[in-house]
Amino acid sequence: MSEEAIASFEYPSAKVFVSLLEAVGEVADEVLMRLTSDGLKIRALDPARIALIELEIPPTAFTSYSLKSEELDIGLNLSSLLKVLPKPKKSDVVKLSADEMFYHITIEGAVPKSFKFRSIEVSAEEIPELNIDYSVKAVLLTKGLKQALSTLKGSGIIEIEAPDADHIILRGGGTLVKLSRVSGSIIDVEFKESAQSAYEESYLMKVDPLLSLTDSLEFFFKSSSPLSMVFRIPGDVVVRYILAPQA
Amino acid sequence: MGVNIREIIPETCVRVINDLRELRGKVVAIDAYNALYQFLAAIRQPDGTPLMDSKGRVTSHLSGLFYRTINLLEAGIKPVYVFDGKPPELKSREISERMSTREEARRKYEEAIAAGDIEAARIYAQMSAHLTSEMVRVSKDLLESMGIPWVQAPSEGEAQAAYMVVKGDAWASASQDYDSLLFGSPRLIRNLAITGRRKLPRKEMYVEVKPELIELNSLLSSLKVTREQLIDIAILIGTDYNPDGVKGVGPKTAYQLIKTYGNLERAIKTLPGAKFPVPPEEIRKLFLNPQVTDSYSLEWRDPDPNRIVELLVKEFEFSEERVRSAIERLLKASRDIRRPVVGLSKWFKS
Repeated sequence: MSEEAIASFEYPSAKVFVSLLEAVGEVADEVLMRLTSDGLKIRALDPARIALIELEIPPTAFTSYSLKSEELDIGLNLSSLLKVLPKPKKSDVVKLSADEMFYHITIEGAVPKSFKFRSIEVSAEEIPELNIDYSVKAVLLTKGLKQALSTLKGSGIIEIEAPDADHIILRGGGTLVKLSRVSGSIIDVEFKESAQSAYEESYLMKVDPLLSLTDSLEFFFKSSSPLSMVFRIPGDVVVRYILAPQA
Repeated sequence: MGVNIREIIPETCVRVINDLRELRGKVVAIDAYNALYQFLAAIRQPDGTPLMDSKGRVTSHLSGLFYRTINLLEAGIKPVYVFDGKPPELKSREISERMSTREEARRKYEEAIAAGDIEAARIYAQMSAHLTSEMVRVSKDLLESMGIPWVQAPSEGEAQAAYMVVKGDAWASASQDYDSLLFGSPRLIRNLAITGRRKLPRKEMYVEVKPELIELNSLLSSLKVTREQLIDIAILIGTDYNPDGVKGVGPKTAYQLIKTYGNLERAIKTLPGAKFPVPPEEIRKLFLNPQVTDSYSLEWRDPDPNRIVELLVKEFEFSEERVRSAIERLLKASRDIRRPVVGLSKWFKS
C-alpha cells in the first residue's frame, strides 16, 4: 500500500505515539486525524463536552513525513485500534501509511507487526476556540501532579486552589495535597489573582498517559473556569487538555 | 405495538447517538413497559428460555432493568421510568389481540421446542413474552432501591412521558414506539434500552443497534405537516386505538393523502371502504389530550445496597458477586449524576 499511499510517516518512538493515542482515546472513541504540511493534528471533544484534547505533531518530529495531497483526514476508531495495537517496546518505531480508504500501521521492532484498518467516517464537527483570560499560569513538575492525582484517587471531585504565587492546593475526599515552589513541584508561575475551582476526578485522571511523556507541564487556571494543561513532548509535540469545571 | 411511521421519517431527522455520554446531564423519561418488554424479549438463552430463578420465576426484566439503568447512569443520564396506568377503553381490542398473539406464540414455542427447532423457539419465546402485574411491582421495588424515580401514569406511559418533556421536567422520552411523537414529545430516543449487536431472525446476521434521536419539530417541518396531520397519518395507517387502520393504506399513501387533502375527514371521502371503530375524532383526541398527571416528583436518591441485595440475590437468586460489583458502579454513578454539569460550550468563542 505504501506505493499508492497519499500520506506516510515514521515516528521514532512507537511507545510515545501509542501513549499519545491513548490520551486522545481517553477523551473520544472516534477521532479525525488530519495530516497536512503542518504535520499531524487531532482535536477531539468528549461526547459529554466536558473535556477537549488537541494533539499537534509537526513534520520535524517525524523521522520521515510525506504527503501527496494538500491534506488527508483519517477517521480513527481508537477504542478498537488501541485494543489491537501491541504494547510497543522502548526502541520500537511506528510507521503509518494511508490513502482515503485505509491506513496501515506497523510497529517495527525485533518482530515487525502490521495492521490495516479502514478509515471510518467521523463527523468533522467544528470545535470553536476557547476564550479565557487565566489568573494563574504555572509550570508544574509532572511527577508532582502525578503523585497528587494518585493520592486523591477515588475522591470524585478534586478542588484546586491557587491562593498565592507559591502554592497550588488540590483537595478531595478529605485529603489535601500541596504543590509548592519550595518543594520544586511548581517550577514557575505567573500569578494575577487567587483562583479556586473544582473538577471531576475521573476527567482529571485522563491526563495520566501524558504524565510519563514529559517532565513538566503548563497549567492554566482561573476560578470557576476550564482548566488547561499543556504538555510539550520532545520534538515540539504539543498536547493540550482542557477540562470544564464543576458548577 | 404503536404506530409504524418509520417509512416516512426522513433519514435527516434521525440523529444516531454514537455514545450515550452525549446525553450526559439529561433527564430521560423512559416508557417503562416498553423497556421491560424489550428486556424480556432480548435477555434469553439461545433457545428462548428467559432467565429464571429456581422457583421458575422470570428474571430477565430485572436483569435488564438493573444493569442497563446502571449503564445509563454511568453515561451521566438521569433516567425516570414511566409506568402505564389504565389503558383507554379504545385500546381494549389491541390488548386482546396482543394476548391472543402471545398465546399463539406460546403454543408455537412449545411445538418448536418439541421439534428441536431452536431458532424458531427463540423467535416464538420472544413473541410470547408477557409482563405480569407482579413483575411490574418488583420492577418498581428495584427502582426504589436503586434510588431511581418512577412515575405512575394515569393512562398511557408514553403520553405521560411526552407531557413531562413538554413541561420541561425531562429532556426526551425514550420508547421504541413512535406514538411518543404523536403524544407531542419534542424529542424521542429509540433503542435506549437495548443496544449493541442484535441478531436478525432466522439469519446468521447481526446488526449494530445504536440509540437514535428524533426531534418532533424537525420531523414536522421536514414532512411539512402539523402534529395534528401526523396523527391523521397515523390513524390512516393504524394505531393502538384502531389497529386495522384503513385497508390498503400504508405510511407513504397515508402521508400523501394527508398532504393532498389536509386532514383525515377530507382524505377519507376519497376512501369509500374506510372504516373506523369509533369516529376518528375520538382517536385524535386521545393523542392530543391524553390523560396525564402532575402528581410526581423527580428525585435521584442514594441507592440502598442492602435492599438491592435482598431483592436480587436473596429473593431472585442473582449472582451476589455480580450484583455487588454492579452496586459499586451504581453508587459512584448515582453520586455523579447529582452533580450539576457544566460543559465547555459556555467558554467557546462564538
